[in-house]
Amino acid sequence: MITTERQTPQGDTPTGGRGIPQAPAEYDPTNLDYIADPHSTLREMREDGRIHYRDGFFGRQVVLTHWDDVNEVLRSKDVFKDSRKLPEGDVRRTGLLVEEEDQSDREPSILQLDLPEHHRLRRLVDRAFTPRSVDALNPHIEELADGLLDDVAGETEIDFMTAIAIPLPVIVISEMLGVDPEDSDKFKEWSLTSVGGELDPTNKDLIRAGRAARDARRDYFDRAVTERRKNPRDDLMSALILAEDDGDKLSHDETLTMLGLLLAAGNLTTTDLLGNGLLTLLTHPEEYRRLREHPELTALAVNEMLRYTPPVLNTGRTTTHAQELGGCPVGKDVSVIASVMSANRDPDVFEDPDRFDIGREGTAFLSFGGGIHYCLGANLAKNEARITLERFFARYEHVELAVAPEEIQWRGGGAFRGLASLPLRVS
Amino acid sequence: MLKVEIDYESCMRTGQCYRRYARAFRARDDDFPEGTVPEFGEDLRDEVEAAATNCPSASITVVESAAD
Repeated sequence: MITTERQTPQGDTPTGGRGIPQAPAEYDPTNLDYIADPHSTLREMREDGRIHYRDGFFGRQVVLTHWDDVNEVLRSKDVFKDSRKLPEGDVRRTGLLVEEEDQSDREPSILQLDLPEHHRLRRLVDRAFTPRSVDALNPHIEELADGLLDDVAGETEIDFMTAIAIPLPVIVISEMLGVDPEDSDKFKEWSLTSVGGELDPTNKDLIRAGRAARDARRDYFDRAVTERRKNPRDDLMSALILAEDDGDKLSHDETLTMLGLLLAAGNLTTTDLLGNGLLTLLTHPEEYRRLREHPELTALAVNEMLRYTPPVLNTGRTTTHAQELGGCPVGKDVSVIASVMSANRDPDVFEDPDRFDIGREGTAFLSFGGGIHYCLGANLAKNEARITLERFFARYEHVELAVAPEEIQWRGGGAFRGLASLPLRVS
Repeated sequence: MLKVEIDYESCMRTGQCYRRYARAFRARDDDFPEGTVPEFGEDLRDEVEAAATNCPSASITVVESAAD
């Protein structure tokens, strides 16, 4: 039951949302209490109705929690992502409310582009992420996972996050881009810091640190791209440059923005898939035993981890024009939050949705999004998670949490949800 | 019988169709998908329609072709 007192907006609200109920106060993705336990709130919202509104940092937003509505809006042509299309003066144009000089005048990334610009950029990188291309990396990912496990050999208590879940994805994507292996640590730190503002859009220190990290990373790529122009190698960076030189395909700035995005998107999410997934497995002893007895289920188990505990909770769009969403009329330029996490637990689509079942068939989960922004790295992330878990369990006969489950610290907020650490006893 | 039309302008090569519905779709050398046969029988209707529904970029269209 939703116990929070709710009000229905009257008159011309920014959503045009007559009759749209307010989300319960517990629905606050910037609050770590919510991040630690979002499911009871989302279930209440799903049972209460299809659409709610919430007044957040960026103004009024509407939140969709049913699979049908989330799926539809992800694929809809009646919503957009490019913030340059918002009216002048809208806080969402610059994203984060900070000083004038912090307002980015840089190229928006592919994440924020609509058609047709989106496809022009996506076409330059999609080949590197097809099933065939990423499967070719599997033997190397196995070597990397084994190497990281070698680094902690003999230790009986490890933090799964710092030992494996954080370094593995950043090494894989860095190598794909063409970053020298000795610079991996630097990239890991920049990646963690650069999303600071996403974690808490009201924290100016985090936002500044995030921008400094993005600047440092950009400078690194600036030099590397210039170097690759003289000496191309067999890496994504060179591929983007060659494309850039082929007519007017990609500007220098677009190249740098794309590299930064690939790096950031290519690691934290997979890190959190691994951490969230392993924690869920270890807190479901029957499913854990089942996976131990049937390691061939690992690929399906990864799908279920994606559904059950997604690293990205929701994704945002803005309405291009007045339309009906979740059965209610909504105005133009309204922020829409599509709750992927809630959609993944929709009982109309998933049988017994709150049950973690590593043998669950079907791939209707929306954790990789949908529509043109469907995760470029989906195939790679699934391979990385599967291989890492396989190698981890092959190494250790015995794995258990080193702390009580309720002591596990969550990290994130906004769109992201992951673990600050995952202390394990292993042997 | 059924035919599929694939929009190669919008296709993003995620491989969802040929990974999940391998009886109906396969990868070309450039990793874009193609149908495994020019025309599908009723036995593959479910797979073809699911692939069209689930294609992230909505690049697959199912067309009913005249029955022989």
